[in-house]
Amino acid sequence: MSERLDEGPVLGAPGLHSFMVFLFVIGSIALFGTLRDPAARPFGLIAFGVGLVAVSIAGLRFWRLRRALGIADLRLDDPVPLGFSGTATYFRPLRGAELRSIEARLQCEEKIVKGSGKNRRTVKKIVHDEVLTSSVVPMMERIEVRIPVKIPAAGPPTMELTDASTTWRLRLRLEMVGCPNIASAFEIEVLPGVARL
Amino acid sequence: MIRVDLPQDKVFNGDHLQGRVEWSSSGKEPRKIEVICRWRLDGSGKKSTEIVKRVVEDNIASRSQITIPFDFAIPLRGPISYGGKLFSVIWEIFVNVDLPLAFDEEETRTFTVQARPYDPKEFDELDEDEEDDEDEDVERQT
Repeated sequence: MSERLDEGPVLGAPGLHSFMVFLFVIGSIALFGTLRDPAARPFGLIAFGVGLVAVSIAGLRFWRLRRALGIADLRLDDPVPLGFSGTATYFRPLRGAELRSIEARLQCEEKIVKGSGKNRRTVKKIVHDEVLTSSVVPMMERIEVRIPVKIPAAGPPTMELTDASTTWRLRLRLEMVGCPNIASAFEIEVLPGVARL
Repeated sequence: MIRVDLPQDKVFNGDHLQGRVEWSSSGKEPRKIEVICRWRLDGSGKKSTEIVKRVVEDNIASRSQITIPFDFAIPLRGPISYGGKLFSVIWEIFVNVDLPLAFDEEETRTFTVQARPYDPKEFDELDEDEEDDEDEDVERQT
């Protein structure tokens, strides 16, 4: 058992938050660009206002999460063999928020590198995606969820090769009451050995 | 002519692959014969090959037939043979007969490395060995 890194993303897809910050930056540039031009200034002010609202929403979401949530942990044997069957336990301290529902998935992702130099890019594909049935243990001031995990005996194991890899993850989406919905993801190292039944 | 004999096509990671290569002359005397145990990455991404071990026979003299036995240890950490959606890991025995002033003779024989029955002790020992190796590397660097 060990403390695992929560890869999240806790706030869900990072694109939306980046977009909100981007709107704020663009709005600020538009405001400074139109300050000396009385005719264009209202447009600059509107752009800045929109950006300010967007970044405030992102900031508020972040502040509410920081206030309501502690650091998540997943307890599961580490590493595990192919064919492993066991129960993972997910913990997260809460303050003034509640769990409404949870979706757990076991995923295996393949990743390869294509091209080289400027054309170098990474391609990812989910090759195993399984919805897991989880049970929530009622707790005060924290989430505790038990998730039965079974790694297929046919694999693949975790592989970290020079230009390719396979990674197993347990992904969680949590619908919350009292704070924004969150996500968690934990890597599971799978060894190239098959568990005996 | 090259012939690669493998008693078995499937082997577990951490086990040994034994077999032999038989070469018979077609006229030219080779400089050397290399028998290579390797795995390669195939698929839509970058392709690469990693040599695990090789046996070189360079005492050819004027023999017209040579048998090279081999015994290659397959790493416990793998990788094991894999056929995925984006990439595959293919294990093979590759034989190269280096002929002077002529195209080399080559032969490839694929085999499967499958995941061995899990014994936690074996993998624990592997982790300890890796840690020892890392410590040695750090000592050498300092």
